[in-house]
Amino acid sequence: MFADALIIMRKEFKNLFKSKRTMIMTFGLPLILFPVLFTGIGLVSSKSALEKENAVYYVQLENLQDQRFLDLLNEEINFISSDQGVSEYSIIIRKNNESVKVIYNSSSQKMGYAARKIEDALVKYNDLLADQKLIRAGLNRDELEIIDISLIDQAPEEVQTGEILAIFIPYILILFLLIGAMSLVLDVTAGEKERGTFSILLVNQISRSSIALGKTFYVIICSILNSFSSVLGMGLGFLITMRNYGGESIADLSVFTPLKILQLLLILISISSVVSATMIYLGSLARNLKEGGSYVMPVYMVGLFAVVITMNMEAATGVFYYAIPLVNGVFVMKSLLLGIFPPMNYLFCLLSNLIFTSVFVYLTSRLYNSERVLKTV
Amino acid sequence: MIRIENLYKSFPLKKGRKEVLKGLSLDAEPGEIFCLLGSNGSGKTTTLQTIATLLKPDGGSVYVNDMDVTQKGKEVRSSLGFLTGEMRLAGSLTGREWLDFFGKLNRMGKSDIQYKIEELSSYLHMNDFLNKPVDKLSTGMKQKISIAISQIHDPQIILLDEPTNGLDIMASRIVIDFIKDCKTKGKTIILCTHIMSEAEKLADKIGILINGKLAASGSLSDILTENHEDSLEDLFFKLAGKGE
Repeated sequence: MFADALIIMRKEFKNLFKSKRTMIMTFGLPLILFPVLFTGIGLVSSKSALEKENAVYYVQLENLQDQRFLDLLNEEINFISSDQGVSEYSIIIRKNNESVKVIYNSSSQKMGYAARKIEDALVKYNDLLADQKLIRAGLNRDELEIIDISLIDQAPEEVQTGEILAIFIPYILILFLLIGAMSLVLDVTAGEKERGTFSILLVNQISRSSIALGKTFYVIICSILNSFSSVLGMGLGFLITMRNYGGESIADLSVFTPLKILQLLLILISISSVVSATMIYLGSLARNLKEGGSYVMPVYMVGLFAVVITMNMEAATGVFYYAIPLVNGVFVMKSLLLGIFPPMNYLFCLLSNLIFTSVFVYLTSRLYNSERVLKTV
Repeated sequence: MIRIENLYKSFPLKKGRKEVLKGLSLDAEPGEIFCLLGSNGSGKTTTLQTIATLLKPDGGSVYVNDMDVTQKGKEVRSSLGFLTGEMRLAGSLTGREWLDFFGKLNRMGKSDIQYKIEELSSYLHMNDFLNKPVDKLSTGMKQKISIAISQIHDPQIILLDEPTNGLDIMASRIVIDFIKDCKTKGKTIILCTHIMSEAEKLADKIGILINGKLAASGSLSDILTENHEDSLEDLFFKLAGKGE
């Protein structure tokens, strides 16, 4: 059966590899798109930051003409005193006894920036006045800090850096796995029915279970490759942004040891198997591409929901969670990226995904053996 | 050889079932073209799909080379070549790769596949475009490849479901010549069509399918004489009128 399934899979791969456009869209585009996107975002943000920094702001000062404050404000922004009130170009600083109000219109990003800078200047001004009061009372600020507070994180460095990866990597991997699987599934199921080649495929010597399995193998491998190229593209994008615009590296990549990559890959294969097998079944139920889209889309939505709600959660301890496809994968990946290897949860996740995959492959092969699969109208 | 005895087939509807075939019987011998004529929804495709083991009969029997299609599905499929007018090859695979794929699905060895591809390529004049992606081929070229796919394993039984549907005159001619050639090679052919001229030109036997039953069956001259009509078209409309 597996040898026959490989004939189906090889044919689909051959078709994919020979289509330059599909190859570029499926695997090449994420590798190019993300670095370009991140570079673009970096360029736009740095240009915008520079514009805000160099802009001249109109500031209406009410009851606050203290030169010390004006000097501090001058360190933060370029400004001209005016009486224009609040607009997209001007801002009011209104002092009333001990209260100071900064009145601005946040629909302009520049005014939002100016308001924050004015707030910084006011805090410095407040500290300056407070320091003078303390000196008059014979004190200084350091003497008032009775307790020296510091946070010491004893977690290994790989866990500290892995926290960010544990949030983003499972999310990105599974998101693109869902997207990759969805686009390919429709072509090999409902698309094949629409092209009239499906019934011809069924009139030959190999079992229909082999056809179902071959199509599932193809989608599993392609969706994983698509997912990897997306993560690589994003990683590349991050690195380019960091190199061009400064900032610390988002994470220490030494967390990805060969063993960890292998563990992650196994989990990704098991998640992809469930997603692909489910989508192949639903795509095969559809009579045409349009219907196929509406059958497969809910899987994508549910998958997205599962990934988003678990994005900021810690890996669950209850074994029940490791029986839920996608959720189990996110939790196991999180643990792995934080340097923890939970053997029972890991095995339970693999087992659960294997059972779900087998059930859907079985349902698909049953469907291929039934008359329902021939329906095209 | 194909033998159908008292075949019944129905499909589920939202309420009840739709009976498509109601006791259909026919037989086609080697070297014979049996032409099944009928309007849309008369059960032509259902008949072919039942012979091809894609559908299971509700009642009656279907034999291909004396093998019951419900019992010996795999063996039956090995002797069938199935060509439909709905088949639209697409994608980046070349004609050669499609033929290679279907050869493998029919459990042919590498050298047998190569030999058969060369033979079909020469017979159907496909040498110029066999190595081009099917996406870049004309409808006629694609139809030649579809014919070759149905013949890659050299089947003795050929099932043709409106094979000239949507084809221009040149592409239709390719199909017609192919059917004639299969007949001379002694193959058993069942051709479903609603084009009267095709049936008149090709058929050894004609079956007019009205409401799931053969309203007339036999050679063209026999059925015209029996029903006192001069042309197949007149006979068809007469029987279709009765059926309604």
